[in-house]
Amino acid sequence: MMKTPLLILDKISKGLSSIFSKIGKGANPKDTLGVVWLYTLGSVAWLMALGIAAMNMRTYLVNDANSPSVGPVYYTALTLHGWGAMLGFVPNAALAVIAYSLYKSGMSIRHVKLMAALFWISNLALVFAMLGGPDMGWYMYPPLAIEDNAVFRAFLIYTGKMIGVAYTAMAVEAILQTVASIVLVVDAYQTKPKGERINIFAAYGVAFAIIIAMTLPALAGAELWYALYFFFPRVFPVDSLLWVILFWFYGHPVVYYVPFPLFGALYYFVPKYANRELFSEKWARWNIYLLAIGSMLIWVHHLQTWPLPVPIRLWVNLSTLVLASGSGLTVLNLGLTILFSKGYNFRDPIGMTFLIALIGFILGGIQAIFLPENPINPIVHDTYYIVGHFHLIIWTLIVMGFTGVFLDMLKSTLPGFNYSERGSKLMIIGALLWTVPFLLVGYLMSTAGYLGLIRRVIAYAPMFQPYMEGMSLLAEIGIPGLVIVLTTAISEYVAYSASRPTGVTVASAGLPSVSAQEAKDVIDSNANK
Amino acid sequence: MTNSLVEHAEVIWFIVMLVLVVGYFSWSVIEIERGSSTSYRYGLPCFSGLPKDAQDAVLAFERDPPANHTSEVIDGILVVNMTVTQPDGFHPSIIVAHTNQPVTIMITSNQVVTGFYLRLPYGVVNINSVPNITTYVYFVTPQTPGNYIWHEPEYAGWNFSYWNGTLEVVAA
Repeated sequence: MMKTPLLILDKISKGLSSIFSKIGKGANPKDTLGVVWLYTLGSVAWLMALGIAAMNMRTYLVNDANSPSVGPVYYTALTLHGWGAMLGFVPNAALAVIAYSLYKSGMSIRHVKLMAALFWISNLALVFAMLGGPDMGWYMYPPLAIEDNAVFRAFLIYTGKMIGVAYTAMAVEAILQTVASIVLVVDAYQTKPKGERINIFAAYGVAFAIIIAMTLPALAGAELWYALYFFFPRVFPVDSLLWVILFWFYGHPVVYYVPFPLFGALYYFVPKYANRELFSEKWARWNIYLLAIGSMLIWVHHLQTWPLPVPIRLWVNLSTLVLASGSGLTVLNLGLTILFSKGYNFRDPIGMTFLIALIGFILGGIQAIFLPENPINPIVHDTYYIVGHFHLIIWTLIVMGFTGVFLDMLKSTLPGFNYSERGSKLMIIGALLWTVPFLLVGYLMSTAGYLGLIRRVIAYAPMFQPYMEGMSLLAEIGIPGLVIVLTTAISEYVAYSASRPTGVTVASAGLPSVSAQEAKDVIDSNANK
Repeated sequence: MTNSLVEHAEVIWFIVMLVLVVGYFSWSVIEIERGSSTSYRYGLPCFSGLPKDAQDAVLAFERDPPANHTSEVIDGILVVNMTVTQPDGFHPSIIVAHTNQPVTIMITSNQVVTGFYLRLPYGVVNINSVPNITTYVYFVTPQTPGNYIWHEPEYAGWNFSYWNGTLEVVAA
């Protein structure tokens, strides 16, 4: 009778010790999967930080008595949310998915220590910049982002040349992330199995590592420009329009950094859970060129309400529609794969998360098809419609797709490990609990934006109060869903890890030492009862 | 037949997408040529988006500014010279116009990137203004009197949410 609680306590103790041990190993990885885990944990940490900032913002947004004095706090949270997402989560998650795609295609990372060093230095550089209390928003538009006076301060804590130091740190971050993506491409080239074609997942991973390497330097250059302005203002004056153009050359492709490698994951995993081959691998591979090249050519659609000549506007319209066709091709290819299968396995949590990612991408993408149309764009530009659109993609394709990769990573890390039936059910419920409320949040945002709710405001017409309250309430309902998925997966992983017949005896303070094999025997005998 | 369609699904999809792209693109070009969209052709910055008579009115305003330096009706078009400054927003923040009257606003915002967002019964006027580039807004006031609030759509400072203005449309 006394043995079972002790065993449970011992299991928990060993599980925790295993987690801490893995975190310790994760900080200084030794192999490809270690690098994958390091960047994954980094992106999860940023996801938590940006989520906390978002919910902080929602607290202010449902308050009906805001005043301009709320501004500095609110816009700091807004900037931490944006930076945490676009400068923290996105590059780390993209590099994690790309590195994992190499692993799944039989390639490996040779420069493990370099990748670890790049991770730590780049992320700490971003943390340093964030500690200055930035409140100019992710766009960092000039001259707002270089203002440092009584009317507006781009950083609440850093002033004068310290702002230049912060922008230098950010430029270093972007440069190191660029180097990390180049390292992945080089290592993929060096470790590619000879005479074999890399799988579709890795093909997308490598292609978009190249896109990261080609576009992220634009951000580094723009940030360096700011840094130089603070040190040598007369030599490096900032031109608003040119800076914005430089920013968007990076700013649009960055929204594909995670989704397009995840397209590779969808192409790889959806057929597995549909139990058939991909409908057309040939088109999936050709589509890489369309998506990769197109992603760099359509950024001007972010400036459709800006002073741009008519020919550029027409180009924006045409190029964006062509890219949308490529995305449509992805949807068709995956849709037909599922349609002509003998039954898609959505009862598997990985199958379900990738299915949600695909459906979410369709839903979020459909409402963006009209945006490049010049007569329509100004109706919703800078409104919550846009916020709703890209959050729909984030909450489904990115978060659920990345979760699917995460669940598979756990299985790859521990050969033989699989999720139990009960755990799978719980994770599927969690995935749906996350997705349904956040789909509703996205549509509430889009509706409010269409009706005239301007994005980033802290004061708005009373008619939008119910929308704001609805968004906040639904977000609070949805967040536990993701927590359920992740904690269930991790706890099953830990339980399996602790019960593996390693033969190693672990002693815990205050507990008799029990070998893993003994624990497994007890669990097996209990399960048989 | 079905098998043949499935076999050539990618090609069919490619043709469908091509038709959709050409259709959407053509629509965009036609809209521009017709100038039928208040939010695009006439709302286009860089002067080129203004109809010819509005361009002439702006040139006349700049050649011979009125004593108040703010607004003047030239050949039936109300020309408004507007500046946007931190931290207090739009100057002027009230525009009075007659029903069905063409309005041209010259927006200058040298401190920070700003914008102008106005919902009218028949559409939205939404533009951005960049430092050192004058931006032009053109619209025709509604046919029914009333007040219409315009907003600052771009994050331009801690209190930009409070940068609003009122278009008062009165009976002609």
